[in-house]
Amino acid sequence: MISFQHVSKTFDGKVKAVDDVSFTVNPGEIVGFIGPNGSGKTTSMKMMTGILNPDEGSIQIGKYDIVKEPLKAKQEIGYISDNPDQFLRLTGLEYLNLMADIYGIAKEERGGRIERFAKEFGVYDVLHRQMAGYSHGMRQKMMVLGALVHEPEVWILDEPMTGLDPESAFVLKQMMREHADKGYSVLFSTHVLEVAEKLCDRVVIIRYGKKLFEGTLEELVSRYHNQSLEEIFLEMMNHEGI
Amino acid sequence: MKVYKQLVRTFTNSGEMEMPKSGKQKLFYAIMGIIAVCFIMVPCCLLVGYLSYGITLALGDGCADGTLFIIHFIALFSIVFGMNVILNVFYFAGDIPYILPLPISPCKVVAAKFTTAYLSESVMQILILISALVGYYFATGIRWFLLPFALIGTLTLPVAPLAYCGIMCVLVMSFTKLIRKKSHARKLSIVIFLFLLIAALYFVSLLRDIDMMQFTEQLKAGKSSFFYAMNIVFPTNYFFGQMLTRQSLMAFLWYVLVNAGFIGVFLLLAQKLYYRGVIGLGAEGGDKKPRTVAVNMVKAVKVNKPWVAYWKKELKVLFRTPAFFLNCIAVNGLWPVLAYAIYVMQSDSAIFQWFYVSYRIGNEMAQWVVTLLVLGVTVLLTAANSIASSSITREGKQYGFMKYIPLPYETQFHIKAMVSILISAVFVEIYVVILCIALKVSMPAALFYIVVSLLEVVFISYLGLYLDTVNPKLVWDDELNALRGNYNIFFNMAYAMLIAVIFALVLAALYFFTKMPLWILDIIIIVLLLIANKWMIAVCLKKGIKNLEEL
Ligand SMILES: Nc1ncnc2c1ncn2[C@@H]1O[C@H](COP(=O)(O)OP(=O)(O)O)[C@@H](O)[C@H]1O
Ligand SMILES: [Mg+2]
Repeated sequence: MISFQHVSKTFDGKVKAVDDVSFTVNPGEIVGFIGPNGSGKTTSMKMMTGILNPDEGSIQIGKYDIVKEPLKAKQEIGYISDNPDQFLRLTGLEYLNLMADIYGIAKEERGGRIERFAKEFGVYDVLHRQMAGYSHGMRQKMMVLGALVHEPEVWILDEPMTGLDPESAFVLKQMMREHADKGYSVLFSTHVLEVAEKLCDRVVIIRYGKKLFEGTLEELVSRYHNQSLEEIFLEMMNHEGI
Repeated sequence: MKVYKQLVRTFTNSGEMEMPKSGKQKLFYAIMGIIAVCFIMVPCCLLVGYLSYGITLALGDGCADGTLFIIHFIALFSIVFGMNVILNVFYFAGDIPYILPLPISPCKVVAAKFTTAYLSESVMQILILISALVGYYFATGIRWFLLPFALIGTLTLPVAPLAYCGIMCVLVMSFTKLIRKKSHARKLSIVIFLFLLIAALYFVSLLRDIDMMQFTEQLKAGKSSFFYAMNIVFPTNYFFGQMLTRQSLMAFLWYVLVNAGFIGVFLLLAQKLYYRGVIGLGAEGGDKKPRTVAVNMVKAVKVNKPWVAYWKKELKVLFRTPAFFLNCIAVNGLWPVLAYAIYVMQSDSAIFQWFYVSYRIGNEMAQWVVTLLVLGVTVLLTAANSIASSSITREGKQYGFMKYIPLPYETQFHIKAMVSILISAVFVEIYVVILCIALKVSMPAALFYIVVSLLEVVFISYLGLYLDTVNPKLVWDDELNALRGNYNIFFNMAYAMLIAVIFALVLAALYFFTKMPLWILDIIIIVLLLIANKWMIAVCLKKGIKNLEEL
């Protein structure tokens, strides 16, 4: 469960990147976090994971408050950041092992998990190579594996589909569905509507750091008199307020 | 010309470090800047100026060989360091993929990159060179009509060594068809560095025939193989010296011509070979081990405690990234060159012999000097390798990792400090042990030196780590860029020197006013260092972690 309550964040005293945003991701739910570039998605997710401190508001991950009990909250989170160019000097396997070590995964679980995930995403054969030699998509896959190798309860995925090939994107979507069906929570950001349409139980739409809409897609469509999603989205982005 | 200017501006901006925005940190930075200027720049410049002044006076007749000696030395060092900078700027920089598709001639790109490197790398060099010139000026004077030319000459002296580096780089990298992979090329850069180091060592060893006591006489007589060799390698330096000595505009003309020649050759080669080299450097590369390797590796995974895994990751990044390996680890090897230079020049001299004997018979002054030497070298080495003062910077854009993993910040800080402590200590202790053997130090004294240097390494490491939390340079696209133009490293050295000076002064005052026996003083030193360490670690953890949280 993620509970994001009245959170605000201002950069350099000027840019209000997130402005009094509230929403929750309930157990068993996939929530799409939708907004154009620069709307505050990454900033929100960084606050959920402890990378940034919120100026105001409270954020709860599972049972824990990320500000008050950061270590316990972080243990529950699997986070994919928006930058896959990380740890390029490590081999893929070393990176996955690092993540598994840090989250304290026992040997029996780890080996099997790495093998299964790596095979599903088609990166098993390159695990022994330094990630500097990976393509963008391969790096993104490693980020996905690194975030999921400890089987966290709460997934916070910042534009996870970027750069993935269709098969891997499909695998990831399936994994998200399975994870939610086990009663856990998935939040993922995107600016691509089709992805959200097929996958999400609910969506949160933000623009200029303000929440415009929270609810199911059906609710959204009915409110807008049955236009197509794309039309609705463009209309929302072009008009002040709703 | 317009394109060239635009490129220079772009390159310069992208390499620069972002300054802190909030008021408190700004003030902190300003204060550190002033300290750095006072405790690195000013002493260096004064020392060089005085050296130049002293030798010139002794030489008489307006002979500029004393100044030229300094100029040669600086040129030598600037080649050893410049080579890597140039290699990186030309071939590994993150902007290359964006530049290549643009319709700009290689010559212009290279000229712009060269200018940027010159502007960013030469500031300190030029300050020192100007000090040397000022020293010369006060010793003999320079005729008024020569002054502007002398100044122009001083400002452009670093060009030729850098052009040397450029020519070597372009030539070596034109064979990238053979190297192909970037990772190999990066390793090659380490080999080149070591090669240049050895070459520098060779030139320095030519100083053997100079005796410090009779240095000026020998210079006067014009018999020094060091000078002979360096004048050939750096003709620009030679003509610059001639201009001063003979007060000759003709020599300046030659100086300009030779410089133009260097740049001309460099740009010509670049026009022909640069793109070939860059394009030849294809992928980052990686070995093609068979599939079974991956299978076996997954089966053989080892489980580590979280902090052990973190520790290993830190070491892997340091050792596997050539820019870090070179600047943080291999650089420690420079100290022997310096030590060797001093030894070569001094070992037969009367002062050295006298010192050696007085130390052996227990002269307190001599023992003092050795203690201070150990303190000084330790501080300098630990701060100069920048392992601690770049620990947050090295994370770069992935610094979020430090914050979203469930590993306490304290643990991460201790590990980062420990990396610096361990690597610095290894090198420091090598020198301490060599020193102990050279001076045939007694066992207890040797133990004392070792303990003291270890305590200092700990202090400087936590200090460096703390300084890097204030305003780490997180935005860089290639790794050398993380270290270059990074003020935190500079500040760490300034602070380290300031503290070493204060420490030495306090101890000296204690000694001279109380006349207490040296062994009591030794104990006081250790106790003081222990207290200082406890305080520094506390500050680093408390304020440093707060800084990290606010990043
Ligand atoms: N470190 C930062 N400093 C200043 N402004 C920032 C910083 N990070 C993000 N911003 C600003 O915050 C706003 C939201 O950015 P972001 O959360 O990255 O958007 P999104 O992920 O939705 O594309 C943007 O206007 C961006 O310029
Ligand atoms: Mg984003």
